[in-house]
Amino acid sequence: MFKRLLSLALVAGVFSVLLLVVSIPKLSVGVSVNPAEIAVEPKRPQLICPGPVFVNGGDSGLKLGNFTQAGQAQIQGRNDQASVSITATGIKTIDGSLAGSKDFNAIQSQRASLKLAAGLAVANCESGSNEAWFVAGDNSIGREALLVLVNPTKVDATVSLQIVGTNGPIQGTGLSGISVPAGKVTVLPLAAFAPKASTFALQVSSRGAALGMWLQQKTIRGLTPGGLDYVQASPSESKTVEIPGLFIRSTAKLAALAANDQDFLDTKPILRVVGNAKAEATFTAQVQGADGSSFGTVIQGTVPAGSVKDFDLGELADGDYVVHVESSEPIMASASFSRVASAQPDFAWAIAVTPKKLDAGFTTVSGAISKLSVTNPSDKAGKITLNGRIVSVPAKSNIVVTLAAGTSYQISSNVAVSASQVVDISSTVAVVPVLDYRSEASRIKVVIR
Amino acid sequence: MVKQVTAILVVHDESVLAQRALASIKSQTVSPDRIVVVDTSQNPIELGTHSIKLSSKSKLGEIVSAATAGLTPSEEHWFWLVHDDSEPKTNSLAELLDAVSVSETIAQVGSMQLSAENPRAITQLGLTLSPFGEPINPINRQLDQSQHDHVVDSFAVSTSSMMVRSDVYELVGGFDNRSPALATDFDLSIRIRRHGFRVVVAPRAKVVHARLSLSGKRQNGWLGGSTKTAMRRAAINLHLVHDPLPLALLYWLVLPGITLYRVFWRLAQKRPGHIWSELRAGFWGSFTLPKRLLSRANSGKASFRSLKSLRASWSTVSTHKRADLEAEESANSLAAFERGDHEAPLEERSKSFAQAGGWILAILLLALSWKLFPLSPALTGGSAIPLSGNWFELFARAGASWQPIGQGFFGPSDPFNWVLLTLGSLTFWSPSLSLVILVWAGKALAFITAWKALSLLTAKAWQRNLGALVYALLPAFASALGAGEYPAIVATITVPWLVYSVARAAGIGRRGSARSDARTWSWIGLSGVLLAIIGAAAPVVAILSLVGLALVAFTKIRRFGYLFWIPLPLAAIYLPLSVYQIFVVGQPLALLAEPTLGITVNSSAVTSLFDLQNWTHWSLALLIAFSVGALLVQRWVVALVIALFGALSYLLLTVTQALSFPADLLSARAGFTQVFTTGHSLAAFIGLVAVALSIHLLAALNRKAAIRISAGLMVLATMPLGFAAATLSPKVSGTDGTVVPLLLEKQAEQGTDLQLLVINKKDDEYRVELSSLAGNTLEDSNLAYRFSAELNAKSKNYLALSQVVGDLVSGNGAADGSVLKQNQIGYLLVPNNPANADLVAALESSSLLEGAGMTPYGDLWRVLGTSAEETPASSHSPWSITKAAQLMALLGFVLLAVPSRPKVRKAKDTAIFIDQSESELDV
Repeated sequence: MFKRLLSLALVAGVFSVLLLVVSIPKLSVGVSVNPAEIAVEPKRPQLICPGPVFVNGGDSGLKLGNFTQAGQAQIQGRNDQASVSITATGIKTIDGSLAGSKDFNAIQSQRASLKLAAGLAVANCESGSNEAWFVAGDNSIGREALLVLVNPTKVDATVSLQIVGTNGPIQGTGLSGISVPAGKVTVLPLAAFAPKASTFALQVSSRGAALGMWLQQKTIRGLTPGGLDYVQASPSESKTVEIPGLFIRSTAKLAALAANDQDFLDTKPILRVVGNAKAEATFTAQVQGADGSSFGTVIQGTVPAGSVKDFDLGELADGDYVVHVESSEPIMASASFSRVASAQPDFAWAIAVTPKKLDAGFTTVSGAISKLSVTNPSDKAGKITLNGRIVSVPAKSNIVVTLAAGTSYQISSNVAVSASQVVDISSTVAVVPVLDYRSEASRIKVVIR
Repeated sequence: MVKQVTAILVVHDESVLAQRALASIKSQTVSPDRIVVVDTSQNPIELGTHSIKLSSKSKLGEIVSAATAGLTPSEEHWFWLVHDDSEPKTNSLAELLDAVSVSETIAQVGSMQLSAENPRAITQLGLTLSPFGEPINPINRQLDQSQHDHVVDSFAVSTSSMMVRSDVYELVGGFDNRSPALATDFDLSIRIRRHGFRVVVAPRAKVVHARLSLSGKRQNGWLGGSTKTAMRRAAINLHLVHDPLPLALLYWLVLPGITLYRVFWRLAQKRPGHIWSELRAGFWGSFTLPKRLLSRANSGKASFRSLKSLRASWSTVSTHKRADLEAEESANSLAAFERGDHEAPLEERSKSFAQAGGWILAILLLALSWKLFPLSPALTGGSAIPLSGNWFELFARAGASWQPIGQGFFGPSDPFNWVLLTLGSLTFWSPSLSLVILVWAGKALAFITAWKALSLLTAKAWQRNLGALVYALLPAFASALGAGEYPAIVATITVPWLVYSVARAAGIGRRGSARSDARTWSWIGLSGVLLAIIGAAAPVVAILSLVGLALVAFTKIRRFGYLFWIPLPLAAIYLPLSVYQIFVVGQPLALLAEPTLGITVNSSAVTSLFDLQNWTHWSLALLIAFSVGALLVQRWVVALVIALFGALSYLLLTVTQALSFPADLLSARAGFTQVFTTGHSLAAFIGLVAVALSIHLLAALNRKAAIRISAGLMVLATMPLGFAAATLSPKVSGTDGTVVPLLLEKQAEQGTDLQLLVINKKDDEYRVELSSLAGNTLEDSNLAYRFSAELNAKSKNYLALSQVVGDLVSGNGAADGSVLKQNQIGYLLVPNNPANADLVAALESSSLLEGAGMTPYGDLWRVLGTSAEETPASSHSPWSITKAAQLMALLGFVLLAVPSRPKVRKAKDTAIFIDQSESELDV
């Protein structure tokens, strides 16, 4: 038995050593193929501007079903060292001279006072894309959401839509196989796919050419136009969402209008949340004032998977806010608010902006009050440099910087921030994100197996 | 008419026997007229009489010529040739003379040869040829009971104690000195026959013949090799000399093919000892044709065919072979008995697999694998991708030859491709289907092989059933099945079988040794094939197996001569890859890389064995407890050896888990640059060790209560594992087996060299996969290609292609179309993936491409200016000398492994050695 016990001890000892003592260092055998970094001649950059707003029936409003561009849009920007200033009556493309330069950017604006459209429509001119989510839109009575698809290339594009409503995806015919021919503009009234839907989000997928995509939202109360906006594509879903540029003004007037006429109820600020994950999203939205000068609010809510919901942001006092949303599941979100000076208000959709270390350029609209709303969601205080001027952005806070009209800016930051311009012309308002146009690298990594 | 007889005694180094032979000649009742002694000994022997000294290398014809010099050939004068190992009975000559007096046409007469060991046993009474021309000794090992008492015609007679008429001898040219040694007697008899004379045997003329040459007791120099070689040379010589000329030339032309066939036939006969003789004789026949043609002179006018009636019938050949086999088995059994190989205790008669309810449990395991039931022709997901639908593609990628992978290269394939080829051949119309069935039936197959292996430890069916069940349900194996890790699955199924077959070959375990040489070779063949399969599937397990084999070989040193050959097929399939990885790539450790695909997560050795977060796996703690207990029971030394082997396995598992290798096909697609091993093959091996120890413990228990408790605990350990197996969600799912759009598949089927570029964007990198239009399938996974990818990446061609891809994906319009055409890129495919949207837009804008549509696999473009018709498939032979050698080695061992059932009569005297527990699974 002694020998047996000895053998047992031997085996136990060997295994103990193997389990507890022996540690084999990691060893990489063979050489993995590293990507070949290829220097490529950059694609000639191009920005697409949507031009003046689209109205049904033209200026007169008599040619129904025929969307034409009405009025003029002013385009300001920078192309290398040169300023860009164009008056556009249709879509406009701007060819850049340098690839990926922060000195290549443009913004267009139109203060419309048309029979069927009034308000401020401001949009960044964009390089084309094949995929976009729009977290905005209202097709209820007197509201019109148009999808504007611009194809400036020589290649046709075929577009598919997915519309998400309050009860989930909205099914319908004609959502796929939508042709956007080369060099043409296609305008789609979303009421055809989601009639009377006041709350929805839209995914656009393009195969073929990269398209310029915008959502044009318009309000008409009775026969009076009461608000206009170009909405840009939202970033992809995330568990944390930053929405800068929620600058609330004239709350008392708007409240009075809403009290007298229910058709003005949509002037209240709202938060639209899209639950695009597989599970229900529970979120907390903090509406945070800038520099401690205004107090926001906190709301909580849930959004079922695959649906969209609007949440009232409550009675926010006038002030400059950002919205910070944290969710249990990846979501997309944007906020809408209105301003009014006289009888008819204007509204704006502030879309989410993904925080990143900025090294970009942007231009402000001529003849407008422009302010830069910057939020720093990180735990680290940071700084932004704006045309050489350094501005501190405290951790988990936001700031507002007043901008000069018609000026091109270069902005950089040492922490990941989200920034949007808030543009105000005579109390008509628009919010456009600060974009980093330098997406195309001149060196590409390729691995061939 | 009075006959004169000259007795010629040929002496060759056998002094004592020669004295006896001479005495015997001198004591004949009818004395020969003269006695001539011819001594060809290396050292002349003194026999007390005059002898003619000749060189030891003298041929028989020269000997007879020297002996009969000066004698006039005539009808009355006969030569009686006696060898020194022959001892004619006193009446032999009288009987011979009596026989030839029957007819004047009789020109040659042979004696009845008796065994020197048993003078009552006939060892020869005339010779003949089989229908295929093989020399046959039709009457051998019969007791002489006067059953052969009459003079009868014979096809040929041996030269020992043979009498020939001198004039006829001269007429036919005597013994042909060009003939190989063992063809000389046949040749002389055939010549005599073909000159119109008769050859007979006289059974009453008896001679005790020691058969020194045939039994290998003489130096083999004069035979020109072994007796086997000499026999085969004789057969070849007779064909070339006596067949009609066109037939003889045809025979010579096809002789290499015949030799090759006979090599494999010998393997199928489990007689690998004949292979060298066959090759040597075949080589000899091919290169000595002029001599054979010269020997055709004076061979006689009668056709060789006219002797057909004297040749052996098939039934005679069959009887002859059966008698040889019986004799061999009997000799082997006696030898084994003397060695003590049969002394292994057979305590009790064990039940066969069917009797033990094995099939029921196997079916139960198939039911537990219901989620993997083969409903589709192929699997995808996890580590699984389909095989090519074309069997010939599998064959092209097996072995060291031209590899149509990427842009093609000449190099070694993965050894595992031989396994894939074998499996794919089972369902050759849809090769992937065999893998689907393998995944479904994996547990049942592992159960069967483990059941056999456990029979080495226990005779009790319930113990084998329980142990095999635990093995089949091991978590590591279940993970491998669920993820479609074909190499780990194959290794897990095969390892117990290898253990069993090596044990049988070595005579280890309670089953004792194989009962015949042929059966032993069969086990050796099977072990070789299984070791090759394991090595191909899991190189690290093969290392362990080789260690185990070495241990067995040195403990069973008498079997070393057999066991030595087991690693041969493994060496055959691994040698080209070893040379490539060591000398071309410079990475010897690359030989440890498994052919498993898509494992990118590094796990610890323990997690390879079981998942601690899964409650069902905790039941394995009982198995460990049993394993520990095995060290405290009888035969604890056996348990200690097994346990230490388990420790070595665990150490190797730890080592391999620390290694990472360049990304394989699936990992690269997923954007990884390094892969790790799951360790599932080794984990199953360790599991087998634990199961073996547990069964060792159970088998050693004597008390009923202890046995019942242990059995109950073992059942308790099995049930959670069964539950886990039944509820496991597999990563694999069914697919139709296609990997590219139908358009490409059809073009590939027509045969084209056009290539497909699959471009995927992953983070900031563009990952490009180059393949034939048929796409990359499982057999395209190639270790040599993987490890040499870095070398390829530096080539000008690679960089030029990378540049074109860079230009295409950036959409700058600067892509050089000529590079695409030079590389025969016919199509570009961008898989469906939101991250690829920009890529699609960029490619759409290229003027070098035209859209070929959206497919289930993604967006497809055709490269303008290329077409499958203008780029037909170039012919690359799937063969190479290395591949042929590999295939021959594998086929040879497969033939050796195939169990043969020789028509041996159930000899009562050897029945005591037959293993009673051979079951229907016994191979």
